[in-house]
Amino acid sequence: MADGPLLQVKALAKHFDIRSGRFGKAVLKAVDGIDVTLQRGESLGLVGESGSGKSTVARLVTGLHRPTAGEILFDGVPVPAVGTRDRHRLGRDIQMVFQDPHSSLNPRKTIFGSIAEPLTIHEGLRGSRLRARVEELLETVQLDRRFMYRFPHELSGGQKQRVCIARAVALNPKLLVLDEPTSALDVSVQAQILEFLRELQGRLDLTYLFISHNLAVVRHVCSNVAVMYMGRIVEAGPTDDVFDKPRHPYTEVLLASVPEAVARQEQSPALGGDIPSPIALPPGCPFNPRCPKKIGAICEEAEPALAVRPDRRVVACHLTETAR
Amino acid sequence: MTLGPPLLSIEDLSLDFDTFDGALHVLDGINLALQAGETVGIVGETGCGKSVTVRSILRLLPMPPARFSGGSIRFKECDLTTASERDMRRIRGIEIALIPQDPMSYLNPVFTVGQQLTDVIRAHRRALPNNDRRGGKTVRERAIELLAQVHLPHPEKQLDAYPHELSGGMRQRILIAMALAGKPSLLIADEPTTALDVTIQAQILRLIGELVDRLGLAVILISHDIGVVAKVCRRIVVMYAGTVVEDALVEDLLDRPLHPYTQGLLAAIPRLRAGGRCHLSGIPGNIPNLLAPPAGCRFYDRCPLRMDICLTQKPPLVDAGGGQRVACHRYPGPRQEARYG
Repeated sequence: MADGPLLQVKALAKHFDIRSGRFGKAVLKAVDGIDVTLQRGESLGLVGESGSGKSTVARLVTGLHRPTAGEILFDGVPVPAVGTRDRHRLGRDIQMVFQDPHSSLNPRKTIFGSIAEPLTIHEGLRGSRLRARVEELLETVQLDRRFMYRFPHELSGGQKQRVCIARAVALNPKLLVLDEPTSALDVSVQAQILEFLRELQGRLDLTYLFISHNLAVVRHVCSNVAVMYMGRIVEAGPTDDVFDKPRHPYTEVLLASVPEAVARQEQSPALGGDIPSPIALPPGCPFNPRCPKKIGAICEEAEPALAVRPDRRVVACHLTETAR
Repeated sequence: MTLGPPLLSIEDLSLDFDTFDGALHVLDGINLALQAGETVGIVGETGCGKSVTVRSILRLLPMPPARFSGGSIRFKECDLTTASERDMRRIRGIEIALIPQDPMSYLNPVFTVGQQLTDVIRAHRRALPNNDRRGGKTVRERAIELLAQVHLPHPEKQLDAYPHELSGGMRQRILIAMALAGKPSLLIADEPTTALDVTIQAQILRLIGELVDRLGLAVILISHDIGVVAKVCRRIVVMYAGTVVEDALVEDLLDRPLHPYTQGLLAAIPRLRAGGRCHLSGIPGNIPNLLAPPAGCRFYDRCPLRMDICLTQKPPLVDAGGGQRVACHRYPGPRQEARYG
C-alpha cells in the first residue's frame, strides 16, 4: 500500500438537512460530489469563498463529519467516523490544525498538558519520557522550553499556533489538515508560521491539506491547488498553472479580485452578484448567474463535469470542452 | 501639497487608557493631516492604534477609561478633543461619518433596513433643522435615493427587508448608504471589507472609490491589508504601537519603503502574482508593553537597524525627501535596507 496515493476522495458529498421557514425542510449541499487525490509529500491547497464547502471537506477527511455519499480512502482504507474504535487508530495518522489558536487550546491546561495529552492517550508515555518528548516537540516548533508550564493566555497568537502544530505532529501523523491556520494572525507572524510550515513539511515528511481563503498564502505553501465553488471543485492543478493561467472563469475573477500591495495596479473587472444560496442552487453550472463568460443555454441546463481538458488542464467549464 | 488649511489635522495626539495596572499609553504623539477630498489609508498590525485613532476623532471611545493626554484634533474650526458633546452630535454622521467593520453587528436585527435608514435621515434633519439639505424630499424618497447611490438593486423593495435577509455585501452597502445620509465631508472606513469575501470586497472597494470621485469625499480607510488600502487611497500612513512610523504616497511607500518596520511589513506579505514562492521573512519579537513603553523608539527591540540614540530618544516624523515622512533616526539620509531573519 505504500506507493498508492495517501488520500483518495471519491464522489464525496455532505448534505445537511436544515429547517427552512416554519415547517419546511431543505437540504444544504455543502459538498456535492468532489474527487481529490493526495500523493505522499504533496501539499494541496483548497481555496474558495465562504460557503464553498472547503472546511466541510476538511471535517470529512478528518472524520468529524460522516459523508452523505462517496468514500474517503486513507492509505487505501476507508476513514471511519469519530466515536468508532477504528477512528482512534486513525488519530495517529491524520491530525488537524484549526483556524483560531485561542479557542483550540484548553485555557485551564498548561502548554505541557495540551501537547502531552495525545502522547499519553496513544503512546502511554509518562514521567521523564513524556517530558522529554514534549521538550523535543517544543524544539521542533521553535518554542523555548520555558513555555512548557505556562497557560495559553500567557502566549501570543503566533506562539499558540505553534503549540497547536506541536500537538498535531506529536504522534508523527502522515497527513496534516490545516484549516485556515494563519487567518487569525498578523501578517508579520503569518510569514513566520508559513515559512515554518514549509520547512516542517520537508523535515517530518508530511502531506498537507491546506484550506484557506487567502490565495497568496496558498500559492506560497502549496504545490497543487483545487478551487471550490458551491460545494464543487471547478478547477484543479499545479499551483503555478492555475494561478498564472486560470482556465475557469471563476478562478480568473477570484484571482483578479485580490488587492495586491503593489503600486499602480490596474483596475480589475469586479464580479457582479452575490454568492448564491447553497439551498437553492441555480440549475446547470452553479456559477452561471455570475459568470462573465457564459456561452449560452448549455450553461443553464447542463452542469459541466470536472475533467481533463484537451490542454491537459482539469476544469469544470463548458467553455473548455471546445478548443480555445 | 499644502493648499489652504487641512480639513482634519491631528497634532501630537496622545491617548491613555486607565487600567488597574496603570495608564496604558495607546497613542503617543500621532500626527496626521488630511486635505478636503484626500484619501488616506492607515495600516498596521493588531494593537497599533489605528482604530483607536479614528474612534478618538469621532470621540466614540468610552471616557473614562480613555483619556486624551496631549495634542489636538482640529476639524475645520473645531478642536474635537475639547468640543462639547452637543457640538459632537452635529459632527458625527453629518460632518464625519463612519463605516464600521462588521455589517451584521451594526444593523439592528429586529428593525427593517428602511426603519433604520429613515431614523438616521430624521436624526440628521433634527440636528440641522434650518438646513437646505432637505430639498423637499420625504425621508422615504431620500432613503431610496441613498440606496440607489450605493447600487443596491431594487431599493424600494430592500427598504422592507430585515438585515438577516441580506447578504454581507448588501448589508455593507446599506451601512455605506447610512454613512452618506448626512452628506459628510469626511468618511472614515474602519476595515470595511474584512468580514467579506474577496469578490464582494472588490465590489465594495470599487463602490468606495467611485463615491470618493463623485462626491469629493475625504476618506480615512483603515485596514490591516496594504493591498486594500493601495486600491482606494492616494496616501498611506503606517502605524506601529501607537505611533506613526511612515506617511507617504502609495507609490513611494510600496516602491521604496524607508522605515525598517514598513520594510519588514512589506517583506512579510505573501505575493499572489510575482514570484509566488520566494522566502517570506517575519518580524521576530512582539510589540512592546504599552503600560511601560520604551523611552525611545517603540520599534527598538525588533529593529535590525537600531542605534544607541534609538533607545533613549523618540524619533520625530521628518521629511526624508519628496514628501515621504518617516519617524526614524536613520533619516534624513540615504535609504537603508532592513534585513529580517
